[in-house]
Amino acid sequence: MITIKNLNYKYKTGEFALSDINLEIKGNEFVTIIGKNGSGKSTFSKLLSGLVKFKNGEIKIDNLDLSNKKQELDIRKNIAIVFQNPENQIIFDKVYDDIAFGLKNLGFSKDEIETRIDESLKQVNMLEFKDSYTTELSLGQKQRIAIASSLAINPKVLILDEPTSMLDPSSKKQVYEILKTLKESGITIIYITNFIDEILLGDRTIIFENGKIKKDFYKKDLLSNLEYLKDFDFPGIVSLISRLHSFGINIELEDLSIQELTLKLGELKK
Amino acid sequence: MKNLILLLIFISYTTSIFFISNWIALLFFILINLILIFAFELNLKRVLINLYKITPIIFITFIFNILFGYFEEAVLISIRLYIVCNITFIFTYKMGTTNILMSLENLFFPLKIFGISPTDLSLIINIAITFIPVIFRELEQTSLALKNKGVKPY
Repeated sequence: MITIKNLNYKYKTGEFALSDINLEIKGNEFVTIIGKNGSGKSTFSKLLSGLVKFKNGEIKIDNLDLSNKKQELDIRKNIAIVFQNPENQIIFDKVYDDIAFGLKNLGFSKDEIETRIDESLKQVNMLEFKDSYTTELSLGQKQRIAIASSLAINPKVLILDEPTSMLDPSSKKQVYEILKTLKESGITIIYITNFIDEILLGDRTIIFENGKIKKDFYKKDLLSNLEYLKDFDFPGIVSLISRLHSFGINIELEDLSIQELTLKLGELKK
Repeated sequence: MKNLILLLIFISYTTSIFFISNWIALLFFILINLILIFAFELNLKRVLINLYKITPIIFITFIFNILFGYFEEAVLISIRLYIVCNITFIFTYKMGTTNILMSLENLFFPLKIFGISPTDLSLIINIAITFIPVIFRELEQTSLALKNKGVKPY
């Protein structure tokens, strides 16, 4: 369980990046955070991952207090973050060395490192690239390696800060598939995005605006909260489902493709 | 042409500061800086932040001068550096990078005699300046990624 109380954060310029954030996120929840550029969502992810320290407010993940410097090692073992640009996250020239680096820093034994590397690479379908050079990988594959590095520590909370914004559509799909599998594994996922269609991946959506939480709702209530999302380029499929609802045709809002929706409509017609 | 003249005035101003040891003359330079800050309606907070950022470097210079020279010399050089940094901030803020680079291109014109293109030189400086914020951004991202991988201090 993540508990955030009265979280405030100012930039060095004195401008408020986040103000008065109060939030509770249950364990195993998949939360998507959406907001325009400068809304404070990336700052929030850095604070939530414990990478940036804060003075005002409280963030607790189970018994871990993120403002407590003495718990830094435990924080790193429980929270992992994946950034937008995989190039910044990969340090070594070999996939194995790169994943092992984080595990060594956190004090895992050699045998445990071996097991965790294999398991994490399996989770992202990249096991065959274990001994590959990172320079030979595509951007999408690099991002999957970055996710594997984070998963290797077996974190309670995985934060993804716009992980697909630099990827092509097929790489994006691969990341979505990984996330769907992770969701079932019971890990808490905080997914920060700029793309409205990605909110369908999660169970709950939080909209950030000017450093504040504008709206917080569950996926089942998405259709009744569409007005809060009108500033974003809403995917046609959701608008279509919303219109169908207004005509009394109830189709559950899932991460549907046009083909899947057509099939569902066909079934309803029968 | 106007920008080139301004650039030449700026160079003369900053150079002359280092040849002045008279306290009253230095005070006069500080006064000029203050007048310029108010005349150009600069944000005082930004000016102070800029001076604060440069303080560690000036402090090191101050310590070195105390160790190898006289105390008065150390104070003098620190004040000179503060004045130079301040006037550079005012100058770059008011003139803008593009204008400075165009002026530099005019200033480098005589180098054509030696077969050096002033446009290329100006372009090199432009690229270098443009990449400063990019480098800082990348540096921040990489350091966060390293921290995420458990790099000390934790």
